[in-house]
Amino acid sequence: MDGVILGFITCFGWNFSALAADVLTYHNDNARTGLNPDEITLTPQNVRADTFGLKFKLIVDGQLYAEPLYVSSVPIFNGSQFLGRHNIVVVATEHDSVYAFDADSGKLFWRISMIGPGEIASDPRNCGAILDEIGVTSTPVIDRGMGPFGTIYVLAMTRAANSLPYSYRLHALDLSTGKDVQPPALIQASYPDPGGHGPNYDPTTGKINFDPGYSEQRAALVLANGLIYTAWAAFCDVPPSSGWIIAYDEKTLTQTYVLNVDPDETPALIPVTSAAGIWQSGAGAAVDVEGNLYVATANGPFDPSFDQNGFPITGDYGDTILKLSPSLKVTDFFTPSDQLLRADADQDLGAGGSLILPDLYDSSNQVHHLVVAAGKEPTMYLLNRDNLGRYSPAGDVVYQKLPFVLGGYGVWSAPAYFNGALYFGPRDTFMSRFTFNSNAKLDTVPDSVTSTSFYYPGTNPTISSFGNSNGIVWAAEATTDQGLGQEVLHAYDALDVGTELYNSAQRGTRDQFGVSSKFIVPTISNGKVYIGAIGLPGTIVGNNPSSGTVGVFGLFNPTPATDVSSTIQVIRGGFRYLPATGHLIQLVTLRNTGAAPVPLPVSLVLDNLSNGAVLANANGATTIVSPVASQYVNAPLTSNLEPSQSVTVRLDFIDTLRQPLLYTTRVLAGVNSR
Amino acid sequence: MCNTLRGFYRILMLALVLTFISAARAQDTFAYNVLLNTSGLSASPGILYALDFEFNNGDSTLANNTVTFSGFDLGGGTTSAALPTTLTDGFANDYQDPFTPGDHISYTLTMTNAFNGDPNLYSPDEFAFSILDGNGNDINTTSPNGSFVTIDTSEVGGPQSAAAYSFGDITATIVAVPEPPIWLLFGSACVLAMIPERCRKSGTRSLRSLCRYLGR
Repeated sequence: MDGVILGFITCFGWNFSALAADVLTYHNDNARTGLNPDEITLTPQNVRADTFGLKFKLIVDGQLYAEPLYVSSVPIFNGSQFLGRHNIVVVATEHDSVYAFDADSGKLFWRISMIGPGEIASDPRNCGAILDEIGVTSTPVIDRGMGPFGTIYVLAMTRAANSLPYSYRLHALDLSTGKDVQPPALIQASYPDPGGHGPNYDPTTGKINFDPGYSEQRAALVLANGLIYTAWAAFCDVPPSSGWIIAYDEKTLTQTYVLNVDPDETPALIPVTSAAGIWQSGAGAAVDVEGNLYVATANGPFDPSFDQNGFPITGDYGDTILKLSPSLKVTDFFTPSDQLLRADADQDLGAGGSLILPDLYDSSNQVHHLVVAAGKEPTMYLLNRDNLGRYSPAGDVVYQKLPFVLGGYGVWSAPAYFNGALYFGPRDTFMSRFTFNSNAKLDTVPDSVTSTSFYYPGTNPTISSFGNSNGIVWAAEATTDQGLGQEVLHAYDALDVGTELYNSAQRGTRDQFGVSSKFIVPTISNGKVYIGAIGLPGTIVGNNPSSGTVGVFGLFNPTPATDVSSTIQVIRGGFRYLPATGHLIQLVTLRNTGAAPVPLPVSLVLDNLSNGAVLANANGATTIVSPVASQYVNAPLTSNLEPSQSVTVRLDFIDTLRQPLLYTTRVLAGVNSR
Repeated sequence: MCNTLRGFYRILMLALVLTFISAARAQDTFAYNVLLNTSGLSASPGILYALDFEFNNGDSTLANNTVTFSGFDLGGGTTSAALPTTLTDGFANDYQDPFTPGDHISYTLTMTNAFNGDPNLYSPDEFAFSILDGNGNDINTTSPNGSFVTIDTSEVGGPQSAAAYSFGDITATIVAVPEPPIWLLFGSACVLAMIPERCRKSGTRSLRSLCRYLGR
């Protein structure tokens, strides 16, 4: 036979932005919606100060700017001893450490340091944007299909202990043990600069060179197209800095693509310290379903002289929303008509993260592919992803422009999306909810705002819901200006953010968890909220910056769901292999053999799952109904499962070890905690 | 009388043996005719497709089942590689064959039905037949797993689970082929029933020997 036998081809490295309930990347998914739509436990009814609050704190060795990541049902080993599956939270610090804690108990499973021999974490580079030391600033990203038990990609900055060479290394860590699965990649790059004006220009090569000592890596790492994308900006605009995007193969950590978005830094019409860095207040690039990346650049130069294809001749793209192909070619862009004013006034368009909206249909049933962006100017831009708008000095030509809707200082954060509404947390003003009308346009006046005004740098709204119900908007507040002071966690009704459900200051010091950092993003999964901070509770600002905490919030006495396994017949189908993704699909039928209806949601729980397997479409994992850390999938039902009624559940497996896929089953039902 | 009784028991034993063999084979192997109308695909020429035959292990034993193919008819379509003749169950055992659609696809497959292991831990082996587009993605069908035909071994004995699905007007049908052992059983029973009569009419030498054995 000459057909293509794939049965023995190893197929590690499936691409997926995030599992449904896991939080494996910044703001939940590659669209950067900030939404976990699979939260059963937390509801607007039970998130109240008398039933909900701080459960415990995780103490770490450095400040936290990176979002904690949540991974359910991870096989954990101590050497060769299997310690069972556990739900874990992964925390990366400015002291170059990565931790894996039990997400349910706080027990530490492993900690690793990425500081090499003769090295220390970097100094703050005379910037002050990050206090004391710089190690890991960006949010890592996790691929559960890479390696035997999943891989964490994290970017660490170090320097030589007794001299000044600075280094950035991209690490690939085994999710189960924290160990490097291969040698880390030292970040180096160069890029052509035909004009010869760019930073660190080398006339012998005609290229500019990446300088780690002048490059801040704040934007979250991005996993897409089998690549890890890293994006770079400056420390406090100190030259010679530049806007780099550098991509690495996630299997080998070899460099694949490099783009510099201001290689020539001309025309010199703006302050020389400005560069088109990509920092986005920590947000990762948004990625559409075709694998295109959308990034926003800072107040660097923009070249308004275009080539025959309508792109800046020098390749300088300051204050621009860029659409990049998977191989980092600029395929489209939008630059505001007031770009020069922005550049002169340090009004970075790239201070905020972009968000890719789901397909929206207007009253004529026409579909719209949109991305939303905003920066330091209080203007929101809704852009057509099929035609971003490019540059029109006479006035912006975009899908929708909403001027002066984001307070007085604009956005230093990333928005969130839930159920037809956008949530923005601008600086020094109230968090706002904007809704789409029947014409697929945003109403220009928010339909609700919070009673809390958020100091610099504003807040990153993050949302939990169960489908389109039980929406809660979570937000971190710095209680003093400039991002320091006791940090407060807020929860608002997602349908009306004017209704506050809870905040961590309501019960005095009971729920204090740390000093606030900047750009903090809460992580919500399986009934708990994880939120990072710098310093310990009660410390004076700046007094103890070389430590960090993660506050873990949840219900004090969650009610367990009902085990209905005795009345549900589970009928397994076989496994279908999906060639395009490498996943295994299994259809399992649940039949109610009992005499009573089984209430929604009906969850098929997989216990004792083979170590190399993970459910890619899990709606959650057990946290209180033993055995815990078992993933489950909810049956696609809209009403109770009646006696004699059957329903088919689709299981989507990753099986990294390529061994027989075993599990036992349970069925849990009802709206209570799993 | 005694010879008659002994002969009756011998006939009964032989019938039971044949019944057992037939029943066992009926549980071990099933045959199906598969038919897929692909005129909807051939109406859009120039698009790359691939036939996708899979036989994936689910139980505790690899390669304990076999699918055998015969009688392929592509309705004027062509493949660039040989069509499969057999597949054994394995991990992601996937045979893809680049394909230019014709009016239809039809073939016959037989599939064994072994299941090893605890059914509370393991799953059936599954045969799946799908059509992939040029990007290697399924032409998504009405099946939640994207295939046109799935056949699972039975983890509790008895018949396999077979299902056919559609994509728009591209519809798969699957028909179980009556099992030869059933006909063998039926035919054998008829022959046995005729033997006493034939003995009385003193047939050939070999038949006379059989008659003596049966006490007739």
